[in-house]
Amino acid sequence: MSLLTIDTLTVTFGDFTALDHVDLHLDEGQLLFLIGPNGAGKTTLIDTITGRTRPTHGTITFNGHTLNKRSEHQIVRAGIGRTFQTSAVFEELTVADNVDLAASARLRPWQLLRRRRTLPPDVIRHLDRVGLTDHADRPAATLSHGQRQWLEIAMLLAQNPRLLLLDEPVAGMSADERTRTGALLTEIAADHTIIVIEHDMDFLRRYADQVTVLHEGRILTHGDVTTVQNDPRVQEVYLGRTPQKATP
Amino acid sequence: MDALITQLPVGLAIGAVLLLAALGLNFTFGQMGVINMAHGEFIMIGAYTAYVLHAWIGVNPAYSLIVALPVAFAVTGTLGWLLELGLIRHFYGRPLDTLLLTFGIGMILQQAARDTFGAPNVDVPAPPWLTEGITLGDIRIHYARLFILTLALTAVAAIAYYLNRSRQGRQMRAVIHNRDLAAVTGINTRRVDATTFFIGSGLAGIAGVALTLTGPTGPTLGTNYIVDAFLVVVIGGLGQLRGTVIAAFALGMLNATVEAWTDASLAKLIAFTAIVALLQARPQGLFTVKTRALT
Repeated sequence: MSLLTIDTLTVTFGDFTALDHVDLHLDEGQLLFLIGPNGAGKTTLIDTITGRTRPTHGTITFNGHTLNKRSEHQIVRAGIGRTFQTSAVFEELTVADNVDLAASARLRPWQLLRRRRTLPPDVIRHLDRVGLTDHADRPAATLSHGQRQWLEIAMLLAQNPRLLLLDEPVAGMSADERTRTGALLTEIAADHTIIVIEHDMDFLRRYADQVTVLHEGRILTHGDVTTVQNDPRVQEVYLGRTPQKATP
Repeated sequence: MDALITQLPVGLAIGAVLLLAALGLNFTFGQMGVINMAHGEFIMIGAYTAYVLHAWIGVNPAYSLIVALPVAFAVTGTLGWLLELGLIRHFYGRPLDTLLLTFGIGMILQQAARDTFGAPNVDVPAPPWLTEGITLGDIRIHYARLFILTLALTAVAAIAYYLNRSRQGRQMRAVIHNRDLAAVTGINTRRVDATTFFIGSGLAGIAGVALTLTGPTGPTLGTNYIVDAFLVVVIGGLGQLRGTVIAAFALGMLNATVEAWTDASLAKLIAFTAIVALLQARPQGLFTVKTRALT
């Protein structure tokens, strides 16, 4: 069943065309990797799906509903969650409160006035899933870079999304952290639909099934990792170098 | 030293009034960064709410003050909410325009009060149980001052609970910390803005009711407090509850003790000089938010 359909999506900023007639189709349960050189429009695409940026032309349909005019929090509540390229958490709140904030965002205002005495089971479950149970009561500011990325994923899961959009989830991580993130991703992919923006070719080869390549706002090609990697157009886009080296 | 002790109740009372006036600004100005010049007029409307309850509706003075507190909170809170919804939200990111806009709103509200209640001051009688006082040694403590102090400290406790313990307060802090992240976390940031304004303006109403205990109520009541209230928030550090509390009482004590030696206007001058000196040394105020935000 089609979960996300993007139809002739165009986004322009003044004279600059960030996305140019992009068509994308995502089935329930799919794990899609999105790659492309800097400025290809990857983040703009995610921004547009989540309502941060408005489409100039075209439509985005999620689960049978058009998203074009919905506000950001409405899109979150419709079931689309995202992370940001630069990891962002609420640093003055504890790790558990960060997840709780995401889990309770849908409650009515009067329900939010009561004090939370114990952690909701869902929050405990998500913390456990990303391996941050031991850090639950510490301020999020004390987490390492990798742990922050995992906290973001826990916050995302707490929103109960059907579609997850991850913007460079392993950027800046150590090899060990990458492996753990990869395992986490595989686990989440079992019951979620996911789009991942990632530059790391090694990570892509290990965890990606389907890859879509964006270049200058257009979809260059789409296919499995090996096919895409051997595509001369993709190699040309990355100026004859391996995609890995094209990463800043 | 003697002056310090005898002036202690006066200083605490002035501090408590300043604190009540500044607590609301701690939300609208401290948290959201909106300079609402009509905040003083919200204080004035809070005081007139107490007057209307007593003089027009005829609530028994014995408990009209207690009734006036929640009613004034609702009245000025709703006014603030409407102001945010109808006007201020269209001016976010334009502080100078907001300042002029709310200054104008303040003048409209002042004139509206003058038209409704007349230019002369009106009096709201204090409940009989607040007119007395007790004497401890050299110090005379009026129950009215004690009441204002208790009210201010209760308000601080309630706000501390709200911001730190309730999920709604945490949502508010989250929106201020990182608006984009709050939105993708599923928080309705527009509603949080409106709620912040409602609470901040409602607190002005509470301050207004408290001010009826200290003197007569007139259309320009708020203008006497607005500058001091902004100063308290700035000295304390923006959005810092504990800074606001300390700054309010420090300014209150400074005013009261200096006033005991000299006179009211000289005391004001000395207080302002001290503030200017302090802000030269610490432009960010007494306390600042510690974050390691990347953006």
